[in-house]
Amino acid sequence: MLDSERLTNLLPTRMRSQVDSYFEALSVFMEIRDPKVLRSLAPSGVRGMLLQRGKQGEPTKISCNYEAHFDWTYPADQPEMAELYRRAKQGQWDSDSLAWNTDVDPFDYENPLLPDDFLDPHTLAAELGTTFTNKELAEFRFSLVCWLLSQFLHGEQGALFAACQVTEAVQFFDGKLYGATQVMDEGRHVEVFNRYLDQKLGRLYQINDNLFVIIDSLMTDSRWDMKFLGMQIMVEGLALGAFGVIYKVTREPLLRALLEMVIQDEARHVHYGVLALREHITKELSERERQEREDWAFEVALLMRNRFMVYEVYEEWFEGLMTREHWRRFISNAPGMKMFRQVMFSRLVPNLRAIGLMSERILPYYEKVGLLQYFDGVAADGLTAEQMLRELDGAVQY
Amino acid sequence: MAAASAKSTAPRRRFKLVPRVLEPRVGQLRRDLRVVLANLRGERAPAWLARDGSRYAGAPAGLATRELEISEVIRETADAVSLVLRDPSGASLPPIRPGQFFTLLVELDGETLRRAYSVSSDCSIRDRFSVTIKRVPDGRVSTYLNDHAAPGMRLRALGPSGEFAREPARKLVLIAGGSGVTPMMALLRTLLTREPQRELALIYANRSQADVIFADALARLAVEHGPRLAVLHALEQPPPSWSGAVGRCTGPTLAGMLDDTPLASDPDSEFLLCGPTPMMDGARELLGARGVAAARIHSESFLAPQLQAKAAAKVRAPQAVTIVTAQREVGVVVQPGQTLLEAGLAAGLDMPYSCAMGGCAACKVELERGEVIMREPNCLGPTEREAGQVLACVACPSAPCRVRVRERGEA
Ligand code: FES
Ligand SMILES: [Fe+2]
Ligand SMILES: [Fe+2]
Repeated sequence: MLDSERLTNLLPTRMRSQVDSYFEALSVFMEIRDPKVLRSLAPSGVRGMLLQRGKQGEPTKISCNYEAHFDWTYPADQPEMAELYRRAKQGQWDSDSLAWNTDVDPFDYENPLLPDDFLDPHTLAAELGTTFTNKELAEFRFSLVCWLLSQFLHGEQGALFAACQVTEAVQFFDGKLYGATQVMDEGRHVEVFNRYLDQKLGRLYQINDNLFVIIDSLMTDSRWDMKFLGMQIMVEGLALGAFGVIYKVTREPLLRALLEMVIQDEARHVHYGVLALREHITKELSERERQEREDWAFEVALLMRNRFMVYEVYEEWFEGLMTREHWRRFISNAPGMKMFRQVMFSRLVPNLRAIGLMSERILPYYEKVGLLQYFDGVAADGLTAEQMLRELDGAVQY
Repeated sequence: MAAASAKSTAPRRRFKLVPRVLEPRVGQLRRDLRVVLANLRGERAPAWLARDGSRYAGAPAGLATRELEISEVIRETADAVSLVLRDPSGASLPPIRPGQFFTLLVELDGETLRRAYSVSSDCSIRDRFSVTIKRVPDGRVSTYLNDHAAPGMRLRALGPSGEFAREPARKLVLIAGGSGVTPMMALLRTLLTREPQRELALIYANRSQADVIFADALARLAVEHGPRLAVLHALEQPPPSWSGAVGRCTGPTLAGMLDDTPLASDPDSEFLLCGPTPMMDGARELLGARGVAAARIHSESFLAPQLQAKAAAKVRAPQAVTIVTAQREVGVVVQPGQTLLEAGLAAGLDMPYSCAMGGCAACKVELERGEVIMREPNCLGPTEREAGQVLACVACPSAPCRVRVRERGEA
């Protein structure tokens, strides 16, 4: 670990915070064990964290290089995917049918968008030797909600394009038809989150650097199964965790209704990922290739666990009042974020197991970072959307 | 073509330091550098952009229904159930006044049917309420709910709506027939427990003993709140041992019951009526004859849904309608089968409404020009009709129209 604190102490606050963030990014990459994984993530890391391509205030161009897979014989090759396609067609819904004329008051105390203790601001205030007024708390919570939903929206844009790529590249014909419905789904998700931010909250945050890195690395990787793994398993898992938590805690009826619909779509997407990858990873890949996927998934899982630190909100509110390090600790221990990790990994880990990326050799690493407890959960191909929603309504601790 | 010639006349760049193919890269490089330098100087682009909602302003919107979950089904009589409803997420509900009703939207055979049901529970409880539904002969929704409602089932609803008993006097005589007792029940349950000054009497008429909804609950309330509450029953077909009044609740029967109710001759008390139309007309007449001023009598009529069903079907062609609000004037096309309200909401207009079935007058608009057909009956009074007002939620234009939306707060 670099002792960044000593080095940066001498700099003015803002600059110090910036340099601090570089050191942090660097340490993320230094912790990656596998040189191959490092090589595949590093360029995206530079583009996202150093150059902040997602924050330059202009459209980002990402060049992609992968092969579209055509088949002129239209084989019926994957009955399970054909079934998923049928279900996806029936599961289409019209975003206009949500109650868009619901009045959303972000500062409503009776039906708050997020509960007050989602981030436990009182502890933070005590640590800083101050108190927050109710107004400050409400505004802070508003920033947080807008930030979260903005990241959902950016993630959905990534999902939309990734779904397009995956549909072109996949070699199962039934998978391509299914993929078309997923493209439609993701388009609708972009629409509803954008519309909610636009109409109800009136604020759009920039994309978070870590999210950018993940999206960038998926878009640029030329191997279709890596795109698949990244998108259908990792990012969808992340999305399901995040959506699920907000669905569970929000009291705002429109947002809840919206998330309920989105979650049902996403459950199908993960299911598809498991179907496609299980075949491929267990039958087509060499052991070395499989190991590389396994390591990659582990590193990305860590990235997702450790790195969504809501820095954009920190910079808006607390830069200069506390160090990034302090903020990191605060966010990692916030009840809402803990719950988020719990929901996310309880979905993700069983899925990785189901597709064969949880062999004996990687288990100790998962063990070490405390993720093995989720090993015995149900994978997406054995779980319906209703079960998932019901579980959220009930069991998850908050 | 025009574009090509414009290009050829553009001044040529003298020196080209960077080949055309690399230009985008150089642009990118410049931006990258700018960002890194700015970051090191501690300058940062604002973390967020304000958005004004204009992008989706015109996107179609439907009625803002809320989803409710049945948490309990209470069988009141062989032909009536109470559904206890709550927000599925446990959020608190908007404030409800006793006397108000909800519009339930029930999907049956691919059709969405709307029915209004009065709240029957204590309205000071904020996280749930109940509505009571009596089976109407041939009523699709009431039959369905009586037979199939079960805990866990979800319904879409509008409301609470209605102005009945908005500001009740301290002393009240409630006259109810059949399922007209539901809003009265909410009044009793809410007012008796919360306001120790209240005095109430309930005159309650039914066909037979088996039809009496809330029989036990009323008996209990009468015991608990003793002299502050009197309950008088009348039955058309009484059982042999019956000690209450006998006969239809009009003329002599009602007169006798009013004589037995001290509150009825108190000059300060008000009368609230709810029940079948003939009964309410009779009661109004009788009260008038006994010298009760019309201002002291308030009534809530039931909208018999069977009657309103097919009225809108008369309109066959789309009509152009101009809707004028305080902010703007918008032209919309109302399709056959669509109401003014639906068309206005779909055009993104902020039109007031509550029950969406002609029962609360929240959606009243002024018809400045043109002609509409309204589903009848509805709650619009004769003076309002004369003044050219219509209920947007049940009005289907039969000619090009121009309507003006009242501003919020305007009576
Ligand atoms: S909305 Fe209630 S009468 Fe039209
Ligand atoms: Fe999505
Ligand atoms: Fe998705």
